[in-house]
Amino acid sequence: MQLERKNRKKIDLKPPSSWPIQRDFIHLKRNKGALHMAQATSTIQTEAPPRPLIRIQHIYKRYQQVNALQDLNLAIPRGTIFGLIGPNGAGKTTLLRILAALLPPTLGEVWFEDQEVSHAPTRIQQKVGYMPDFFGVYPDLTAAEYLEFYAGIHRIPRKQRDTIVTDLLELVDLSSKRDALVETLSRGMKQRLCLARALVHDPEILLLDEPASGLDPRSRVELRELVRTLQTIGKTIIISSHILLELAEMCTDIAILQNGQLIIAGNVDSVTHQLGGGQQLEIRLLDTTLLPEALDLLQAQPEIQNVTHTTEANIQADFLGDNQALHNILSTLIKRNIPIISFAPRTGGGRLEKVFMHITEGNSES
Amino acid sequence: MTFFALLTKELRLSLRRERTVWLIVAYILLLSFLGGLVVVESDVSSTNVGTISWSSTGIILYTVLLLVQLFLILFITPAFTSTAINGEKERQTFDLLLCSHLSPSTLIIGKLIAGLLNTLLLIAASIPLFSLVFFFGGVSPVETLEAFTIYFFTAITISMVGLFFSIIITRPAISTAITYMSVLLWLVLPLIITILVTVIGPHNGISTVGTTTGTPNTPPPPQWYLSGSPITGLLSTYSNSLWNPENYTLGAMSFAPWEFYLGLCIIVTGLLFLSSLILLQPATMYRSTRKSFTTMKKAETGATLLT
Repeated sequence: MQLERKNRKKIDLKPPSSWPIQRDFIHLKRNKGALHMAQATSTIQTEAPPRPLIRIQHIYKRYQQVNALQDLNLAIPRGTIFGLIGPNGAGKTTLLRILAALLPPTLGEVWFEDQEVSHAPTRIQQKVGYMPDFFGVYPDLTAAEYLEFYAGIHRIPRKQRDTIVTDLLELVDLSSKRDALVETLSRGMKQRLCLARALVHDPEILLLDEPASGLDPRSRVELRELVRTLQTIGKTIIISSHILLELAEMCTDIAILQNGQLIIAGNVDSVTHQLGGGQQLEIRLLDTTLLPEALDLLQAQPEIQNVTHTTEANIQADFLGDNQALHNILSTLIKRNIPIISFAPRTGGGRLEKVFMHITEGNSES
Repeated sequence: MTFFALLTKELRLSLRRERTVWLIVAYILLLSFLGGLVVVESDVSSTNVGTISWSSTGIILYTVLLLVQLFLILFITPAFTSTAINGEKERQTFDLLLCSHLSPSTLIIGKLIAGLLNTLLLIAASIPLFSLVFFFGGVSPVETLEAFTIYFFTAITISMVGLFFSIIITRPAISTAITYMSVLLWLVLPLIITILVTVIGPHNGISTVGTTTGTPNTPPPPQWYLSGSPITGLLSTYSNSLWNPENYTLGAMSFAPWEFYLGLCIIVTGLLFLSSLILLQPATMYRSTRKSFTTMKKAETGATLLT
């Protein structure tokens, strides 16, 4: 998984220039519940990493006597799935609303490439698809009419609206509910409809505030798949959530907020490492007779802690080293002729959750 | 394009509600009932065909229909716009509208016209009833047209008042109540001013101690403030009405009272429209927040955080 993430970061998918072009550029098909991209051109990036798409500089937000955000600095790279994690009142929604140019910061600047938000809030809003933590729907409209309305107020030509609405409904798997009134849709369906609405003008950046809250497990998996697909077609996605497991599996980068302040930000793996969360190493042996030897060997490694074995053949341990150290441990095990079926370092939500609980301990209600 | 999208949505939402249909039905039934009552109660018999009695019945019927329709417009129209913006906020769709190409002016005009169309639908539904008046005579089509112009501008003004309060007041129930209170005030304030002026004014002979300033032969000046009321504005549109004051002159120009009323409606609507526009501008939101923070910081710490 770690390697997958690193490889993914190197891929810079060409972002679509406009929705109609994008529709030709990508043709999303749904096949047995999984989304596949039929056509998508991508180029492997070889040059230096580009400038962050969004730069947040010394942001303060104050509501009367409450500081919602305090001296927040953050850089969000293009094409990432960026997770905002924090307990209630950490300032996640406030930050998303500032990024959507819906809420002016009390102090500080937010830059979208070369544009400062307060100078051109309207222009920034065209680049952003915002999905708040509430539905924001008109119950008396049908799903298609709802999307058609938002397509209209985003100045999408009338001739293209129907095609876009059809494609978006297909993308979020709501084609069968096209003519159903919004009020008759389930919570998960409404959530997906709202995501489709956020995509109607083909924004560069998607801001999703608690998108999975209140969804059943199946809807969550579908939403996660959808978000990943959107990243693949070049969207930069910023998600806030309380569900850490989900963010850990979905996000490439995260930022942890507490009391309006940034605790840490960066790549999921590096954040977990920096906060001492490390990775969980899972090793499965072929021959259980060599278990004691393997346990001894692992315990002798300085990067390994809390070595346990769940069954006779399965070993679990906390790993705090880097990739080279990981490679060395694997080499050592092989050299000792310990037969291994699987060797899986996992950052995982469990680790992240552990880190998060540790750093926000005693402050969850603040 | 954004305007038509908004208008389509608004009309879909309003016309899909059952209450819209019932409102039209109740509106027409009430007007018909009152109109029928006038005809039945009036002294119209077959022997008087073509006489003054018929035309006077026509005028009474017309006056009743005019005033009843005016009151219905005054008290139905606020319901269409007084929750237009804060209703979106309550429904949590306002932010989503802001994140689009929908400009504040388009939003205001779209909401205004959508609310107005509902009222115009009621007015249009009443036209067949008004046409009955021509059967009796006593009122010319031009006078009827002038009265409908008064309705139209009254509806625009009330819609704009409702829209304005829906912008500045967060809770829909409160904005609706305040809109109704404003309409009521608009209705009675010119009458109150007229009474006050009549009582304490220079022409009643009691305002000045010891002497009477007004001479009995001098007619009082036109009470232009009375034309601010929609009732008097409406009554001044036809010659056989209860109230027919002189035209007002401003320099070389002469205005009929109902024209003065229309001018007032246009000015009030324009001012409220501009105020609403300023309140909905995103730039205003940014400017005001930054200013308040500067003031706050300076007041709190005296530190020059922003400078």
